[in-house]
Order: sequence, then C-alpha cells, then structure tokens
Amino acid sequence: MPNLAGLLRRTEFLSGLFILILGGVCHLAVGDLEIGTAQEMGPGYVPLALAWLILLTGAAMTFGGLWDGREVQEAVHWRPLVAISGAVVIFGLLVDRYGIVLAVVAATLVASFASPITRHRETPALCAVLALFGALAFVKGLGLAIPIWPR
Amino acid sequence: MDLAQNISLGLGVAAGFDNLLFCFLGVLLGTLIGVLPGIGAVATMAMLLPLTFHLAPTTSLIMLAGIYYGAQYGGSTTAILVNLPGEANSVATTLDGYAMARRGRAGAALAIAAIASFFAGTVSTVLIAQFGPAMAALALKFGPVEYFSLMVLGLVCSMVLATGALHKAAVMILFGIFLGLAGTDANSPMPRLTFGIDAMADGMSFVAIAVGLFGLTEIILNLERDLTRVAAIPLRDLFPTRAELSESAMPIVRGTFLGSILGVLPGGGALLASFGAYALEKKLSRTPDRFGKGAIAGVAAPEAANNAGAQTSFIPLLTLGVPSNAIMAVMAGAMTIQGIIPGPQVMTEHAPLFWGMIASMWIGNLMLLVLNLPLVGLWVKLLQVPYRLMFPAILFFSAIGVYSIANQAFDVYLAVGAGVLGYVMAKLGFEPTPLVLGFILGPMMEENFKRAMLLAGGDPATFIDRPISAGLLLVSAALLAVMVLPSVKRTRAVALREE
Amino acid sequence: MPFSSLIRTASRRALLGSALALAAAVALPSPGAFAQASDWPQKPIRIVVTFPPGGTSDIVARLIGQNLTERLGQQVLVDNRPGAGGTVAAELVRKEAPDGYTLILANNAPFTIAPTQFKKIPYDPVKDFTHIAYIGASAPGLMVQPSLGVKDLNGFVALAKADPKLTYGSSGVGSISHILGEAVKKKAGIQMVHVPYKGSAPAIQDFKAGVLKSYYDLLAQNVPMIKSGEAVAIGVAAPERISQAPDVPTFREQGLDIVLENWLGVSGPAGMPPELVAKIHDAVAAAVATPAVKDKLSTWGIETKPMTSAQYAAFVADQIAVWRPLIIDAGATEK
Repeated sequence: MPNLAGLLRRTEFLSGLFILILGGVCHLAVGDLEIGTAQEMGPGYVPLALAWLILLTGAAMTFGGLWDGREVQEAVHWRPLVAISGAVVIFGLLVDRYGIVLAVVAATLVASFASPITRHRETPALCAVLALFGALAFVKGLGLAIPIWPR
Repeated sequence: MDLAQNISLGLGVAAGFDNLLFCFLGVLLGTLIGVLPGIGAVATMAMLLPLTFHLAPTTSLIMLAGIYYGAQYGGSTTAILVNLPGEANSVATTLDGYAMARRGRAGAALAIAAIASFFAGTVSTVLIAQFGPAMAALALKFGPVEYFSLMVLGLVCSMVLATGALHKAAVMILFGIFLGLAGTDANSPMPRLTFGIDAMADGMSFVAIAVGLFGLTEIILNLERDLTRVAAIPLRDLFPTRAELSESAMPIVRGTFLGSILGVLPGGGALLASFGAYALEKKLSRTPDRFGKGAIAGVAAPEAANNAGAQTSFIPLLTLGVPSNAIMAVMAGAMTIQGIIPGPQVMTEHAPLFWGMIASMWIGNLMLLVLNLPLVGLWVKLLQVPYRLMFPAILFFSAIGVYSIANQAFDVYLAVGAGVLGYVMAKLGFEPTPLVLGFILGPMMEENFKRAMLLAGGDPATFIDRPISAGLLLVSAALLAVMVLPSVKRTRAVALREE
Repeated sequence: MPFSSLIRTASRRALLGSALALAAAVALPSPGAFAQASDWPQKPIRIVVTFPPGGTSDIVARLIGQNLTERLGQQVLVDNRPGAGGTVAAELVRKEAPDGYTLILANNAPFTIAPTQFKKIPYDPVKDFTHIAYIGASAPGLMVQPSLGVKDLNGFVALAKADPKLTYGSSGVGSISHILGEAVKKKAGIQMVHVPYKGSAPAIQDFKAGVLKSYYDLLAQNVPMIKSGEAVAIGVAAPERISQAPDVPTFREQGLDIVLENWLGVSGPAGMPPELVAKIHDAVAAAVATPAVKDKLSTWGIETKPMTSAQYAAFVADQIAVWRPLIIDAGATEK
C-alpha cells in the first residue's frame, strides 16, 4: 500500500474523502431535527437517512480507493479558481449597497487576474461597457430593483 | 366539439391586432429573459401582472403565456453557447448542446433547438385543442403514489444519463436530494437544513446552483485548460447538415410525445420530459457513446420535450383549474385578476378566450421560429468574441441574474459555492447532472412518499397495489438492472485482470 | 519587471478614471435625502408579500399596489418573500427603516400564527411593527366529495365518527386550513387523517383525482367547483354567510362555534411617525374603498371593513389570543 502522499493523488481515494466530507456536512445540517419513526416520519427522517447513505458510500469509496491505483490526471490550478470565485463574491458583497456599477467594476478587476490571457489595457473599457450595459439593460430596461450607484 | 370551428374561432381572436402585438411582445421579452440566467419567467410574469389590469383578459393572458414559452426558447440559447442553463428545463440541453458548441457546431445546435421547439409547439398546441380534457384525465390518474414512482423512474433515468461511474452518479443523486430538501416543506412550517440562514428558508435557489455548477465551473476549467490562450471556437456550418436533420427527426417526434404527456403532470413535468427524452434517445441510439460529446439527437430530443411539456402544462390549469407549477400559478393569478376563475367552465363560458389563447400559442411559436433562426447567426458571432473578454461578461451576467432572483446576495455566494463544488467534482470525475435532478425531484419524492403513506394508512404495499405505480417501479427496476449488471461485470473483469 | 508593472498600474488608473467618467455620465439624482413624512412618497414603495406570485395575497397586493401607484404618483412594487410561515418576510420588514418605503401585506401567517407556532421568532408581532391599515378578510370552508353523500355538518360528523380514517387536505402544517381542520375535529369530537400539501392547488388536484375525501380552503375560490357539483361545501368559518356562496351555511349556524378568517392588512416597521401612518392609512383606505377595487376584492371573497390604525393594531393583538389555543390544539407548534 502506498504512503499517504501517494494515496492523496488517487482519484477514487480522494473521491471517497470528498463524499465523506459532503456526508459529514449533511449530517451536521440535520442537527437535532426530529427524526420520528418509519410510520410517522419527522422532518429529519429522510435527510438523516440520506446523510448516512452518503457517509457509507464515501467510506466504501475511500476504502475501495486504497486498491484503485488510478491517479488524478488534471492538476488543480488555484489562480482561476480563486479569482473567479473571488470576483463573484465581490459582486455579491458590493451590489446591495454600492450599486451595480461599482460591483461590476470590482468584479471585472478581480476576474482579470484569473488568467494570463487577460490584456489589462482592455480591462477599463470592458468594465465601462459591462457597467453601462448592466445599468441600462438590467436596471433601466428590465426594471430590476438594483441600485445603480451607492446608496 | 368541432375542432376546426374552435380553431378558426381561436385564430380569429388571436389574429386581432392587439393580440398579435402583445403575443409578439411576450415572446420577445420571454426570449430575452430566457437568454439571461436567473431572471426567470415567473418573476417577469409576476412583475407584469399589474399591467394586465389595463389589458383585455385575452390579450394579457396571451402575453403572459408568450413570456413563458418564449423563455423556453431563450433558455436553450445560453445552455448551448456557454453551458449556462437559464432554468431547470434547459439543463438537459447543456449536455450535448454545449459539447456541440465546443466543436464549432453551436449554429447547428441552436437551429435544431429552434426547429425542434417549433415542431413540438405546433404538435402540442393541436394536442391541447383536440385532447386537452382527455389529457387532463391522465393527470388525474396520478396521485401521490404514482407521482412518487414516476420520480423514482426519473432518478433512475438520470443514472442512464451518466457517462462516468454509476456509483458516483448515485451518490450525487443522494447529495442533490439532500440539498433539495433544505427549506420549508408542507409537513412542517419550520425550515430545516438551512443552518439558520433566512435566505434559505424557502429552499436553495435552483438557478444559483445551476449557474454555479455549470456556468462558473466551466469558466474556471476553461481558463485553466490552456493557460496561455483559450482560443475562440472555430466556426463551421451555421445550419444543420442534411444528415443531422434526418438524425434529429425521430428524436424530435419522440421528444414531443414524451414531453406532451409528462407536461400534464404537476411539478417537474417538463423537466422530467427533457431528461426522459434524452435518456430515451441514448438508450435507443446505436452510438450511445456519442451522447455527451455533441450528439445532435441529444439536443433535439430534450428541446422538443421541454417545449411540448411547457405547452401542455397549461392543460391542468385550463381544463381542471389547477395550476401545476409556479408559472401556472401566476397564470391563474392573472385569470383571477381578470375575474375569470380557472376551471373547466373556462372552455365553455369563455370560449373565445380559451381558443384564442391556444391559437396564439401556435402563432407565438411561429414568431419564435422566425425570430430565432436569424438570431442563430448573431449568437454564434458572439462566440467569436475573444474569451478574455467573454468570460468576464458571462461572469457578470451570471452574477446579476442570480442576484436578481430574490435580490439577495446570499444566492450569489451560493452560486460561488456551487461553482467550487462543481470544480472539485470535475477534478474527481463526478457529473453535475444527477445532482441537479436529485435536487429538483428529491423534495417532490419525499413529499409524495409521506402523503402516499398517510393516504394508505402507512401501508407501503400501496406502491405496488396501484397498477400505474407498479408499472413505473418495474420499469425503473429493469432499467437499473440493465445498467448495473454490465458495470458489475466490467469491474469484476478489471479486478480479475489486475490480479 | 518594472516596466510592465508600470503599465499595469497605469492601466488600473485608467480604469478608475473611466469608472469615474462613467459615473459622471450616467449620474442620477440620489434619493439620499432624509425622508420627511410630509413629502412621502419620494421614491418607489415596496410591499413585501409572504406568499409566492399568483396567489390571492399576491394579487391583492398587486391590485392595491396598482391603485396606490396611480394615487400617489410613485411606483408601488410587490416583492414576494415566501418561506418559514411568512416570518422571513416579517423579519425583513422589521429591519427596514420606518420611512414608509417598505411595507408588508400583513396576514395571519407571520402575525397571528407564527408567534404561537414557533418556539422563538425574531420579532414581536405587535411591538415591532406599525400596523397601519386593515384591508379585509376571507373565510375558509370545508369541501367534501359528492360521493360521500353528505350535505351538511351533521351528516359529515356522523360519517367521520363511523370512519376515523377519513382524510382531509390542507395547505400545509400550520396553515389556516390545517388549524381550522383540527379545530373542527376537536369541537365536533371526530377523528380524521390530516394530509398536508404545499398550497391549496395540489390538494385540489388530489381531491379531483378522488385520492382525497375532503379539504379546507378559502371558500370563494372554490365556488365554481361547488356549482358544477364536483365538490359539496359543508360549511364556512365566517361569522355570516359570504356573498359569493350564500347557500353555504356557516359552521356557527350548524352548532359549531368556529370563526376563523384569513385577514389582510398593510403594516410597516415600528416607529413610523404618526403623520406618515395617517397618510399611508388614508391612501390604502381610499384604494380599498374604490369601487373597482372593492368589487374585485369581493369577487375574490375578501370582505373589506374600514378600521382606524389603532383599531387594526388592537385587532392584530386580539387575533393572536384568538388563534393561540387553536394552534396548540392542532398540534402545529414547533417541537
């Protein structure tokens, strides 16, 4: 059996751990919901059953993964993952209070760091176009209840 | 009831200037909001409800209906172009539509989607006119017991869709069901599984999850696939080839019929139809391996099915007076505003309205075809925009669309969470589609299961005592067996070889 | 790489510059000025509705909103925030400024049911709100399958006594129809199986399919089914018979003292200046009294009644007391 570092490169083993984490979060979410009985199911009955099924599958996959030598093919690239997630989170943080224009400018700025394909010279123009389009099409045109400017 | 007479009455009403104009405005607006993720038909129709105080009843209903089926057309556009399903019904379209787009065949995929939708719209309009009441009777054959079994079949079908490992699809279904259960259900007013987050009290937003799992994940993966340069997709023939057209013909017909039937059922009818049609084609195909890699039948069938289903979902409202989903609830509200209580009497007491609306659906579908085919060229040109400019734009549209569902930032964060989850899933070989199906069908399954047990006094035999339910469960079991047996054999073969 | 980083900095400056230029170009007057009661309304008004679009509460809000829009010259928007028995919407409105720009279409769910139903809610239904204007109420009734062969409450009670497995559908645990169903069970001394649904539409579908033997729902919406003979109305929980269905007797006249109504009103966050309250009250009262609006409300089964803001606030407090024992008896409380 390979060492831990070797195991952590194996798809099935990692998949099993991933499912165990999901199952764990599910189990946590169920908390102290009333479970009830099979005849009279409480709100927690089905969720708890699902959480356990997920945990069991995860455990089986992790265990089975010990013997499955296939390794993860694609490496994780942090830059696009972090920048794209960050861009959308920033949008969410700003849009309520600071309006669509600032939100889109900030999000586009952050997103521009996701990949070297971005030409930073183009970013200001892109921000302007997207902000203008957002303000005109979504707020003015479709009448979405989003502020254009900080309030 | 004389069909020809009714249709001519309907066409007479629908061809009135106001009705044509508002039908066009409806389908145009529908297409636009369908293209944008998040801004859904329900919200748009609800926003326009007050406008109907000033319009004639027929005109306002024609417009609102136009928004709905227009959105069905538009929804497939972003699904195909950028892997963003604007709504549940276009998730199945992403599977092969986006794969086609990546191979430079976005034009053909969009065109076939429009053609399939038009065909389905036409056929289902005739079906509503001729067999509406009979199809409503079918809806009444489906109680909680049957509905639960249908959901089981739906989930089994979603495993047919899976191209990867079955156990991975299965566990994603379970996780999807779990996510779907979060929020408030009929059996208890207390929201559950929400970690106390108010924004989740009415459940997690489907659009946020779909935008994250499909759209955001795809952007992240695209950006890392080739970190030096993500090329614009080369553009090949804009329209389907003769071979592609003939390859799509039968899937369109089958999708239309499946969609027409399932659309009558409450809740996830049109959604089940689009996935069911996809799974059916994959099973019937001589080359099932091509599904998920850009098979045109994988676009034609679900597109026909979801449009047919969208159309026939009017049947329960118009003939029984029962709105079967959130959109039909808004339609029912619009009718009530106009002083028309939805129900079987609408057909007799308001014949011009009833037939006018049905005729307008066909006219609207024609308008959509005329509107959408020329747009194919424009949409495909959009794909020529360099990806470095395109991905921030897609991000922005996704974010604003998700935010606008309920004007809450939480949904935006939820989409990010789903995006990261989708990224991990992609790395580890999990597919998002089973999760999404579980998410939508899960809560309905639980609800109908509990209800069926209550009605049967706690006796689970009810699921096999009732013939339709027994049949559906049998089909599910058979499908499952067909799927699992070869894969068990294969694993065994692999294991043996390795030893 | 000093040069390239210089370019980057420069482009970031250009970006900020262009953002500012854009700001100047599309600049709009800011509504930031502090709201004075006397010049209300200066900007669009939002009415939060605790139910999804299309239902009665939603269309009432839109109908009145439309009339107010014309009356006040400012857009009145409806914002649907369903979930957790309406408490999400109420909590959202409680946190807003008491400036008259965020109102709630108040109803039983968050204001009279939730306080008893939930162990803990984040607001006080009386103290944390300004109850401004009462609109009206509609009454739920009991509909049964014609095949049961009963025409009135006595017949129904006799049938239920013989068959304790008789089912009734409601719009969900803790909904008005559920609490009414349990109240009827208790007062009539019968047993029935409660089958909860998400809203009344799926319950009616199952009723039409014959799966469900009876259901409770607002009576006015079910008049077509009663007229066509698809359903038999056993009784209505109103103080008097309702105008849309004058043939349906009340529960009270059949010897069962139950009056439960689904009331609607307009409320806002606590601490609104009296001048503003009076202004909104008068506008809503005038909208409700408009013949076109009153007619529509009446066809939807909503009997309007003029009340002062003070009367309405007292009414809300009173309703909590009226419903409390019924909710506890129904077993619809959080465990």
